[in-house]
Amino acid sequence: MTACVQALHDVVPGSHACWVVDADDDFHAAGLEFLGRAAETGEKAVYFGPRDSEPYRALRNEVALAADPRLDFLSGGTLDPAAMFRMFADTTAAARTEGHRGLRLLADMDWLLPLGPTADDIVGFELRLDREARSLGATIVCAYRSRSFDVPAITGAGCVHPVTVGERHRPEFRLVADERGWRLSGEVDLVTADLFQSAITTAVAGGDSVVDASGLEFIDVAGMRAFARAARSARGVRVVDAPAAVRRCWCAASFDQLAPNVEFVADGR
Amino acid sequence: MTDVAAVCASELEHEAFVYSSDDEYVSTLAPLIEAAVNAGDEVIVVVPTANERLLRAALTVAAHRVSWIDAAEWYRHPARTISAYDRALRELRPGCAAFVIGEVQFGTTETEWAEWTRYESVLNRVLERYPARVICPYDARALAPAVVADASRTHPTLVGIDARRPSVAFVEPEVFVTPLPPARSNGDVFEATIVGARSVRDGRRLFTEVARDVGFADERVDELAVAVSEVLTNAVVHGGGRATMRVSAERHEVLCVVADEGAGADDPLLGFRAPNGMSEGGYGLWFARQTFDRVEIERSAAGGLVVHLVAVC
Repeated sequence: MTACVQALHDVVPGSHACWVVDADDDFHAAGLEFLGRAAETGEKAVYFGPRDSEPYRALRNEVALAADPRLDFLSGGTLDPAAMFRMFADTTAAARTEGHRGLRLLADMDWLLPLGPTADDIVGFELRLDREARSLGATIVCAYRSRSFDVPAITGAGCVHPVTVGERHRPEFRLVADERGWRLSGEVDLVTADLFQSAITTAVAGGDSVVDASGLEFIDVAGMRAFARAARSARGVRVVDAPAAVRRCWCAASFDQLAPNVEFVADGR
Repeated sequence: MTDVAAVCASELEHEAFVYSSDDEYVSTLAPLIEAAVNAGDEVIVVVPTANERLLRAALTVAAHRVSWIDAAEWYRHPARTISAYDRALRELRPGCAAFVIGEVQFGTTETEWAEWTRYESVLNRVLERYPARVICPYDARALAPAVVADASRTHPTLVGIDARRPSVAFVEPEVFVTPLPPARSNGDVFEATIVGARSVRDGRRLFTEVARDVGFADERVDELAVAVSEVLTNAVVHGGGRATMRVSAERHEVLCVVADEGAGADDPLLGFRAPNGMSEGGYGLWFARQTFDRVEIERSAAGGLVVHLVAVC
């Protein structure tokens, strides 16, 4: 088994993974390896991708349900996350009625391309999808082909998935859904500034959020500023278990005054 | 509060009071404190505990309306003291003025004397928009003569027991403030070239390794790493996109010099003023001055900035 096929085999049920497909990856073999486990895990195998693509034609008969989200759920129009998530909830409910635990989905994200998504669009979409996938217990692999998407889009997608398949595209930071809200880990600095701004703004906008920062290794002042700005469009943000230096720098830079609705708490869970 | 407070203090009054006896100290300052309390000013007195005792003994119930702060605690790090005053004055209620007595603790070395004297000059600019009268007592019995002499260069006004007069020797901060001689390294120097976002990260990591070896606590290392990251980011974004970083460890210190290839800046007060809230620029050097123990900024021969950062373990 190649490393790629093995990696797709090893995706843990219930996880939401980002797979960056490089030219030399065998998409078909790896995709089949992933989808083929559905019987064993009691899940319903589902494939999303562009209707007029070779992989779609090859895989549609290997799964219980195949669809092109742009044509089948979004009526060819704009990216409507709400419509996508309703569809997920409905599809999961139907699968459960049929006796499955949930969905096992491989998505060839090339289906997004006709909608012309920016890196920000992708970050926002995946961040919300992550929350949904969690709540529905789905096992999802989002496949982003490196020849189809530019570096910012791929990096952005990687940063907002809890899991990335393969070692080649490790994300610098991660912002993903957890049981209480969001979890922020890794390093936020000049390399990842724009992506972080996009992700954190989507995550905390409106209402109250909890952000677990126990895995945050580094954040610079620009990152803190992005956080403070994002908090302005929220009611409250509670940051749990941030490293001591982060708290000190936050206050030293006066963000405690500029964004007083951000509360740092220790939880130690 | 009262009309007097609103009319009198419309901008900063920064005054030096040189004294040579306890009597002179109390006779001059206690009435001023009383008057300020009665006028409804926000009164903050930052003096050594011995002097606090002297003043309290001479005050009436007004003493209870004063915020007393121990000078030994307040004057530890010039840039942080400036920020602390800035914060305190930013919280003034609208229409209210502040009356501050700040007795600077100049320390024991000539370097410290020079840094705190510079601090006094910088204060004129940083606090200039606040409705505050700040009197700085100078104990002529205890301070070096040079330090006392500089008081008339760093304060526009001199205060005596019965008089207030302009200081003819006053020098504008933009002229007075110059970089002090930066520390020179004696240890091994690790060098890195900074040309883009990834090398900012590599530079920050190199600094972190060296600082850990010196023995700083983890939390302190992390805090200093943010400041280094800011200076390097500054060099990449505003400093011509390219810089050299040199880090070295001494026995109880870490030294880091970042020299960029930009156009530099003509502002001798670079990094002393807190940047404006959420705005993008100006954070890097201000943050460095807040976090490191000594920061000196020079211009290279080519005109770029050379930032010397020292942290003491």
